Amino acid sequence: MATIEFKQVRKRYNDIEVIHGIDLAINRGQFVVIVGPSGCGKSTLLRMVAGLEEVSAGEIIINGQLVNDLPPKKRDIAMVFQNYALYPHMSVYENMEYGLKMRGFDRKEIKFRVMKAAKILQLESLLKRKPRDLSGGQRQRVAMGRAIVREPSIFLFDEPLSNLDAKLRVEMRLEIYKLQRELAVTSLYVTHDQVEAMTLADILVVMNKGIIEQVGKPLDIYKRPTTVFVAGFIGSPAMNFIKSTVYDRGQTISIIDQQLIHLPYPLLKQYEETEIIVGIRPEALQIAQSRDQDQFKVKVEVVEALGSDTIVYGRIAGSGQQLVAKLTSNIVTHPGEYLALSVKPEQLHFFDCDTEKRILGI
Amino acid sequence: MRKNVCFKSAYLPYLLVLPQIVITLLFFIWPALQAISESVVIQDPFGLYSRFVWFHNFVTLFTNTDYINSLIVTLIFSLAVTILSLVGGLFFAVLANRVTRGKRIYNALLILPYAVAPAIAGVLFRFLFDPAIGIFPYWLHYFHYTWNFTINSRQALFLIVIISAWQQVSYNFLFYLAGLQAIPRSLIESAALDGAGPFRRFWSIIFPLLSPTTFFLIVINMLYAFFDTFGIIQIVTQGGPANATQTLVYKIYQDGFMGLDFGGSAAQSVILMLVIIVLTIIQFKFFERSIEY
Ligand SMILES: Nc1ncnc2c1ncn2[C@@H]1O[C@H](COP(=O)(O)OP(=O)(O)OP(=O)(O)O)[C@@H](O)[C@H]1O
Ligand SMILES: [Mg+2]
Repeated sequence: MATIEFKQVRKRYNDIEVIHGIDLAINRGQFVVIVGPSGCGKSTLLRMVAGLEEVSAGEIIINGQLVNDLPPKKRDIAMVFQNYALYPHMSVYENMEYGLKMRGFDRKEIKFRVMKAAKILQLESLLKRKPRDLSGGQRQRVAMGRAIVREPSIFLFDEPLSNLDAKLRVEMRLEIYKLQRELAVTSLYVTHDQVEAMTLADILVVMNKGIIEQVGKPLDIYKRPTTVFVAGFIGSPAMNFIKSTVYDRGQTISIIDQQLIHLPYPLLKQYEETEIIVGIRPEALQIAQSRDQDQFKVKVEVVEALGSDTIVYGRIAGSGQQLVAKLTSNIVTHPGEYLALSVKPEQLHFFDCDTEKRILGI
Repeated sequence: MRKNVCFKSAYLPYLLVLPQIVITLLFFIWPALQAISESVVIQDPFGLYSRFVWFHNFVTLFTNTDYINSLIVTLIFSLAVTILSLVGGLFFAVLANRVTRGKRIYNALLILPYAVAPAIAGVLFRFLFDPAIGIFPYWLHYFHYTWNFTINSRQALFLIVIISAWQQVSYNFLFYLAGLQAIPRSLIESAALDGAGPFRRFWSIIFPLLSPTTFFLIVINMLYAFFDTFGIIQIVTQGGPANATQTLVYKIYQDGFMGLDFGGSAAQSVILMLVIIVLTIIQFKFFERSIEY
């Protein structure tokens, strides 16, 4: 168990900076998930923690010790790679004992630990097999086993589940969750799967283009995204963004000219009569119940009935803005029809058009 | 992916493989049969008279100390060449694989010896090691070491080993480099995190993963040392001094074309043919055990 601290960490590859100053502090035993689009620098950040990649500037501090120049083997870190990186010429047992052997554990202790890990991960019957004779899920488990036998102070995961099929991914996600809670080892987990991010994380870190956009508890980030990017990235289907103008001293905004929506709280004065970005989560939209609610008409274009819910893609009548709504499954509608939708004002998100940052109420 | 191709015409496939078949028949099968048929007869140098002698030629060979000597020379020679060029190739491949700047230049330079014809390599080294005008003997002189490969049989063997290995290092380098590059980086990184230093990583991960390549190269290098070094020997030592560098192939040439003992040299070719066949079978059998990542 360890603490990890990033101080203005930067990474350059041949003068091209890909990580632009990361500040982050991770507490003992926390499960931190890093999400972000492809190429935003998640793996690079992880590999710098592991010592596989040099830190160009800034400091990485593990357990109060500056590790910038510490070689990987001295960092007491185990990493699970996306392709598992199992040693193909070694059996499952040999794969799991390798790290212990390299660290000079005695045979008895090695055997004890490997058998214990094998039991936890249900690998006992596979110990003699070579990686090529294992299924994807089993390989994944061996990779996990190799990480846990060492009882390291930090786990790093780089998209460990992305090579598995959907069902197995759910299973392994639960297993990783349980395992991490049980072992309480500080973990950094990289993914671009939303569900993994939301369900596994104690702390969620949303990255974009080499910077951290937001850090927080998953639900807090979902409820109060601080930037347009985070708002659009977290949540599925993605949040709707509609450009609107603020009227009436910040009390009312218009989705389009005729359709006014009343705000729960007045917005900052500076936004009076200016354009802002309004974010509406698809799941915040519902069929309008009565005349007195703020509501607007949407022309339905595509209907996806998923069973559990129905996702409707359409355009706002008049402005033609695209909109996605996640409605309850009992709604029956067809392309070409008009739906009257409403949204609770307190479920709206507002962002500045220029900075794309969240606008706070007064 | 579909591996079988269907042709519309029934003759086209045969037509397409015809050139290869003709070449194989003309230049491989026919001479091989010729060698087999000649190995069981004794004939005079002009081919006017020949007598069927069963396996007399083979029996003679294995009772002949010259042949046994040549066999031993060949074994020592091919083992030395194989080991030397494999170690060299691997060494350079590991180094070149670490280089990031000017990678292509290093690679091109390391491959260059392979582009030199054996005879030219022979001439090159003959000058370098010439007892009278060579630079190496000149340097060795300072260490009070007398170098004269034209009279010292160990030095002669050493010299052709060096030349042959020098030529073959490039080939091994290429294969090892490709093998190294096929090893996923994450494996090495994983081993590093597991606490293995560079040396342990090499011996416990990289080297075992290269074993299919190594095995393939051992066979190829043996074949090379057995057969493709004729030019070098011919230019540098002509099998001498005192048959110290007379490998099996070179002996075939000397017995057949210089000694005009067709039966004996044909019998030797047949034996060599068996060696090739065995090596090739071994290679096919084991090369399939490649590693999948
Ligand atoms: N060795 C390298 N040399 C140069 N640029 C690199 C190198 N490795 C990564 N990059 C660049 O750094 C950026 C971040 O890469 P990184 O692998 O960290 O992305 P990622 O967030 O893990 O993406 P993904 O989700 O696709 O795995 C990318 O723009 C990539 O092109
Ligand atoms: Mg990545």
